[in-house]
Amino acid sequence: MNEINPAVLIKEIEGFLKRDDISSEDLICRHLFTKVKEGFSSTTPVLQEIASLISKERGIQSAYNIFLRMEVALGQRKPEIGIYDNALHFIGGAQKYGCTIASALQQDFDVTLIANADISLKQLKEWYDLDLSRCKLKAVKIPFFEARKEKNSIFDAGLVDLRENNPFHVISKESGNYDIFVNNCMLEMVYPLANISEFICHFPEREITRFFHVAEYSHIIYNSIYTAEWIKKRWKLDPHKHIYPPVDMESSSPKGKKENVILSVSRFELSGNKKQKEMVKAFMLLSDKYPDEMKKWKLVLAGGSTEKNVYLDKIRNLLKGIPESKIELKVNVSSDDLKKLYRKAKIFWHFCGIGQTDPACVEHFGMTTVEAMQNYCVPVIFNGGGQKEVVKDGESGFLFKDFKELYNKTLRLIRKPEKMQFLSEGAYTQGKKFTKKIFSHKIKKHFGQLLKDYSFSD
Amino acid sequence: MKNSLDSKKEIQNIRKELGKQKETVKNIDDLAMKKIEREAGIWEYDFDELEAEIWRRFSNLEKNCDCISDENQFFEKRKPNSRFHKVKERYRVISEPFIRIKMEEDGRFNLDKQNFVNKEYIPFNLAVILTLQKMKDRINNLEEMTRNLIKDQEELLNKYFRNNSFVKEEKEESLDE
Repeated sequence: MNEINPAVLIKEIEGFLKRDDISSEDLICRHLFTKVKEGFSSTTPVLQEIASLISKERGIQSAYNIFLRMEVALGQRKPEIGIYDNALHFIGGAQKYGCTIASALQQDFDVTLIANADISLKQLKEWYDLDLSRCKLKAVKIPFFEARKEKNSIFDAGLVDLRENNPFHVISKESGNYDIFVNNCMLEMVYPLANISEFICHFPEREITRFFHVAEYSHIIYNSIYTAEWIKKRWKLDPHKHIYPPVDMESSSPKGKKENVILSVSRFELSGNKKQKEMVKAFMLLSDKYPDEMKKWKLVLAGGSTEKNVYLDKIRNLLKGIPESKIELKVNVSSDDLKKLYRKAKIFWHFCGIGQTDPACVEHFGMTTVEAMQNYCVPVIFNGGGQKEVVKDGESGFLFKDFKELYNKTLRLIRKPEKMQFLSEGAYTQGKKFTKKIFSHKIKKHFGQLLKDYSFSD
Repeated sequence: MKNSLDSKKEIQNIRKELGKQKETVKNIDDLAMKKIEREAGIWEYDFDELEAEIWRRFSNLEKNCDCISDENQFFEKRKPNSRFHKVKERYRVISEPFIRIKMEEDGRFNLDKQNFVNKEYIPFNLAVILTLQKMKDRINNLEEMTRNLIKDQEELLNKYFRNNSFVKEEKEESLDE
């Protein structure tokens, strides 16, 4: 055991604190870690004195972070991760992304899912078919939204009054309780206080305001190259890590018999952003112009919807007089029924983004397209946003830029079964590149590296 | 005398104690030890708030009067060879060197003054641009309404003529009978 002179150690720490950069905290932590690991002894409570010194110079949070890191580095406990999502109480692709991270990391980290509303782990498990048994759940209510929210609504950050105080500082404070804080809902208003902070961006929806804190995060993880381009363009930031979302819709049984079905799976959004109305019109036009080719084909529109949905009513009106054997509407179908639909459909249509000028309204990735591809369903999708990263035109499906191209390519598939077969195989092969297994591997690798640096294991 | 196990325990206790202290801190700036957000500026106003602010700041302007006046507009153009114009031109030639010196002294290289001017005028200019945008929107809406009215008018006229010709034909038929 090395007996040390407390005065010398304090002097050394003071020296580090004089450095006016962020690495000084890293150096203090490493220095103290080495001393403790070597086994030092002291007659005075020198560590206590050092904590007070850091608190005074750099603030309580900084001192807390240093001792938090020391605990992990010395192997006293598992590192803690807080994964925040303000829409965790809603089923969605981004939320599945966050929950899959939690599931992948729960073995090596103490994972806490931070929500703004009450939700159970059981519910999340049901929605995403994930093992979250070792995760914890914490609901941090935000007074600003508690006063405004309607039952089960998603918190709209656009409601925040930029002239008042930032209501998300409740979450900013919470972020400081973890070794690693993950912001999974691209909420740029949360200021990270943790030692390591990861900002997961599914799309940079809002412009830079006085509450913009993304630049303070250690890394920005993005879901598609399309999103990365817009992060650079809109926020002038360079994102760090590209990880495509996890998609697991592959059936365990072998490829079944396909039927002449064109399938669309998308939420029936009030804004009509997923363009189901246009699909009905396009299908009817094709049926009118090419009755011989189209007489045996059917369009199925599946997707989730809220109880009152004006857009869905419009589609129902549009379908009046059209037999179900031609166009079928399937709202809020179960996961099993959805799997059956994917298995029997030959073609998958996705129009989101057509005629759009707002980049946020173009598909950022397109999870349902990948789900279809994993079931040998040939995608015929709009050539925009993240969709063109998923499908290679002529190899794993077709991309179209306007309705004329859509009609031509759909008819080409219908007329040429050998082309359909070729693209179906191509779609399946491509779809397997986006599985949960690949996603989890990438996540484990990324966070494993972070942990290695964090606990001085280099 | 302490061993390394004691040190580990000490670290844990210190961390917990710091955690308790941290909870009592209300202001995020005190935790981050810096001011993390700038003050709210005129940029944070939405369109209606900005417009309200303009009328508050420039209360001498008449609120409901925009570029379209009810009265007839007329422009007075000074003749280039008028006596007033000549005097003005001569005054400009004589005074220019003095004005230039004065300007340089006063403001052109006076950064503080420039910043002060910018602070006042940039929001004002922004506000003016936005107000003009609003006027443009109003004009566009009016144009849209006008287009619709013209369309309705044409339809009504067509209907009227169709009905009239029908009546005419009927009358002709009855006359034939």
